[in-house]
Parts: sequence; structure tokens; C-alpha cells
Amino acid sequence: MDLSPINLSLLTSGIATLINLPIAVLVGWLISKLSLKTKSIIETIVMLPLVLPPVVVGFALLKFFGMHGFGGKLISNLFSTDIAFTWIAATIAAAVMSFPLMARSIISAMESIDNRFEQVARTLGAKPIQVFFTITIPLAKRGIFAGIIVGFVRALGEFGATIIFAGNIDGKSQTIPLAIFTEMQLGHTNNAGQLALISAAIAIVSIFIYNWISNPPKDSKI
Amino acid sequence: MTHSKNILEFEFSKKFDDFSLNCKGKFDTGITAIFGPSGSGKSTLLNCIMGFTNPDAGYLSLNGIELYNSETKLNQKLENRNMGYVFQDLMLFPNMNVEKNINYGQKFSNNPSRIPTENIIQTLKISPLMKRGINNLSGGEMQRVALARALKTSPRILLLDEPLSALDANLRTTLITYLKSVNEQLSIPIVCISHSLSDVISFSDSIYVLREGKNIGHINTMQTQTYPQLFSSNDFEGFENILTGIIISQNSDSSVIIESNNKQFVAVGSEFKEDQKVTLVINASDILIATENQINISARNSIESKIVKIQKTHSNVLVYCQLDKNNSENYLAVQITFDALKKLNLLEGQKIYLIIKASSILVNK
Repeated sequence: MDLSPINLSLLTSGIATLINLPIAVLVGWLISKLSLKTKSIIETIVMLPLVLPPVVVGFALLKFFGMHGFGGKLISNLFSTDIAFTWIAATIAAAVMSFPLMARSIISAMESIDNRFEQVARTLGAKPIQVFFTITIPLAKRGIFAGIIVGFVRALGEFGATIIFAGNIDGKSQTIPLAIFTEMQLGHTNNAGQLALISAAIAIVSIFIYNWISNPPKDSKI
Repeated sequence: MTHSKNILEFEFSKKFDDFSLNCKGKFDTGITAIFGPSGSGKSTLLNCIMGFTNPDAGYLSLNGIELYNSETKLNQKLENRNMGYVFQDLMLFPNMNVEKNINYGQKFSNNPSRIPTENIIQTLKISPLMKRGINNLSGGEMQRVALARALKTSPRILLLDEPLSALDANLRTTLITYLKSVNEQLSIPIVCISHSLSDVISFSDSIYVLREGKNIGHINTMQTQTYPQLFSSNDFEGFENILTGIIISQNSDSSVIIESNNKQFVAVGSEFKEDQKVTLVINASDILIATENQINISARNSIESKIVKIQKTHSNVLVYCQLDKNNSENYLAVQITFDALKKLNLLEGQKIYLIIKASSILVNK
């Protein structure tokens, strides 16, 4: 069995999660501090990829990062390369599509922190940035871990935006869902089934971890 | 230890949609209670002092150093105000044990601690708790940890939000002892807010009274009975009389004899020393009035007195009784029913006897 779709999926999903994490934490923190009106505007923007059809997101990414798009031209000028139809495109598609789920979990965690913990920390001499790292992040860590898991799983399952923006190039941009799609089209149902099983196994383990984080055993440090 | 004078001066105005705060004050060393009913602006005032709320106009200075001035646009950051703040809910960090909670502020401070850690730990009896998680603490222990955490940063002043409201009677007495120790032994002035007059009287040195966002008086706590116009009849529900006295003798049967206002009181207590100064707290509803001296009665105190004022509230009657005829300012308030007033036919100027059980007198060192 060709393992390249699995490796590529793990690579793109892992990098997408790493890219998303600091942005989602920052957005979560910002939203938890904003007024209701501003908060709802930012939340709408953050949640957009979740409600838009994935192919629409893929199309928008292709337009933006394609050879004639603003982002594409910028990258071409800076790095003399095109990213459309590469594993980088697959990573970006996975990042954009998984961001809302990760952000949602982190936003909820940040919003549930009583503001007074941060106020007390300030009265004890901590600057806002120190409060962020010593109080806010530790108190939100369960939601952040949960966000990492759901974001990673969502990135692994990304299909629609990836196929439009990154294509379905074997060994280059073919992730597990795209490989399953190809194998099905070629009538290789056994290969498709094996990939589906691997995909399901990763998802089950992730859900188990997610549940464990959400309801940790009493003696757990999480 | 160096005892520096700590004075907080302020003048704030803050307007909200349905409420505005306009007050001015000066808090000296000792324990100051900001007192008023719900919605009078106590929390807003404390938040303006701490910096959680920005006033629309005014100033704030601590020991002569300006922390806020709307004219010069000075607004010292929370972390630089050097004030300790303890929330009513304490807000101990759940991700840290007791030791880490207490030491939290230390890592951000470049200044040497003015209050030795040993003094804090000793005063608040924290050492057995240091390694415990905060979920394994009782209510009283949590209070002490929150106080220790605030004190560890050597604040110039300690602000407390309703420190006694969530505590039962035993914990209240214990916490009051700790607050007084902090104030006296560590030389930290304390400002706290409370809506309970009996709480305020039991621990504060002065009372700053707020009504509808305005200060209507700032009095010595011992003068509470002298200024009844500052308080509403509701404030006197469960009113605690407070008297100062001197221990005459400590008896082997755990009773003490105390002289106060030229009268002798018998109370329950141990480990007191002769000539020791003490404070007596007696709930107004724990005192009985008799028109004749009671000899065959189990209560240990039958004290001759004179009614100086009878005040009817919406639910009961407060009878103010003079203890010492040479001191017209020190009254003992007694809470009785309308029915009792009628049956005893009590009148101002009448001689009466106050009957108090020894166990109804709380003696504080």
C-alpha cells in the first residue's frame, strides 16, 4: 500500500494545526475581551469557512494564491515559486477549513475564564502579557487541547477546498481523502477501504483523546 | 519593622446610565469600612480605588503619590498601584497550589518584600497548607490564603470586597482576628466594603457611609450609636453593640469579668490577662430589658441603666440605654418587639435593668 497519502495528510494537518494554534489563541483571547457587537463581527468572519461550501473556499484560495492572485504574485516575487497545486496549498486549505473548529473550542475556553482571575493577577504585579501566559493560557488549556484535536481531525478529513486549490496529484498533494476518492474512481475498493480504516482509526483515537481532555479522570493533571 | 503612615485620598465622579458616584474621602491607617446598602456605590468606589473602573473625573493618591488624576490624564496601571485586593469570591488560581498562589506576585516584582514572608505565614497560620491544592481548603483557609497572596507583594494598602459576607459565625470571628493582626502586626491599612452594619462594627475602626453614590458621613466606629441618622432602620437589624473594656479577672471556670463604662460584665472567655484591653460585642437582640432588678435568674449580667431614646423601626423597636451617666455618648442598643414595648410601658428616661447572658457577650482581644 502506498503510504504517501497518509504521510502527506499527517504532515499537512500537523502543520495546519501548528499554524492555526497561535492565531486561534490570539483570536480567542481578543474575542473574550471585546464588546458584544465587535465580538459577533469577528466571530462571523472566523466561522465563515465552516458555513461556506468547501469548494467555494478552495476556489477563493485558488483565486487569491493562484498565479494571478494577490497572494500568489506576492509569494512568487518573494520566493520565486507557485504554491497552488502543491502540498503547501493542501496545508493552507486544511488550515483554513479547520480553523473555525479549533477557534470555536478556544474561544469558548477563553470566554469561560472569570475576568477577575486576570484582574487579581494584575493587582499582584503581573503585566497583561504575563497574565496571558501564566493565568489565561493555563486556565484555557483544556479548551486549547480540545481545539488542537478537533482542528487536526478536521484538517485530516479536508477534501473539497483541497481538491480545488491543491489538486489531486499523487505524491504531491494527494491526502488520504483524495486518495480514497481516486481509488474509488479506479475501482480499487480494497485500497480505498484500507485508507478509510486508517482514517477512521485516527479519528477514533482523536475523539478518545478529545473526550479524555473534556472529562479528565480526577487525578489527571489536565 | 518600620511603621510608615499610609493615607489614601480620593475624589471620584463616575456616571452610569442609571447611577452616578460622586464622593470624596481620606482613609487613614487602621481598618476602614465602606458601608452602605446594595446599590449605594460601594463596589464602584472600591473598583475606582483599585483601578478596575476608571472614574470620569477625580483623583486618587496613596501616601501622597498620585495614582489617578483626570486633569493630568494620569492613570497608574493596576500592576503598578501596589495595592492588594481580595475579591469576595477570593479568586484563588485553580491551576496552582497554595504555595504557588501565594508566591505568584513575587516573580513579577523587582522590589524587595517589605513584609517578611515568615510574618505573613505566621500571622495567617498558613504553613501547614502550603502544598495543598486549593480545592482541598476550607472556606476559612481559602480566606487566609487569599489574604497571604495579596500581602506577599507588600501592598501599601489592602482592599477587601465583602470579606465576611459568605462566612459562618465562627469563621467571621476568626477572620476578624486575622484582619486585625494584619492591620496591627504588618502595618497594612485595610479598606473593605460591607452592607452589614454588625459586620462593620465588629472589625472596623472607621465607617465611611455611602448612600446613592454619595458619602453621607465618615465616623469612628465607636460613634455608630451616636450618629443614628447616618443609618436606616434596616441597618440595625441584628445590630451588634460594641464596647471597649478592661479585664478585671479571668476565672478558672472560663468566665471573665470585664469593666466597661463603669459597669461590670461577666462573659465567657479564657486566656485573658488582668488589665488587658478588650472589645465586647453584644447583639442588640441578645439583651433583655427588665423593669426591676432580677436576682433569681440564670443570666449572669443584670445591669442598671437608663433609657435615653426609643426608636421604632418598621419591624421592631430599638431602645438606647445609657450605661455610664458620666458618658452620654456611649449607648447600648436593645432590640425588642412592639408588644414588649407596650407591655413594659417603657419610656425615655426610665430606669431599667439589662439582662445579658455571659455567653451572649463576644470578647475580642
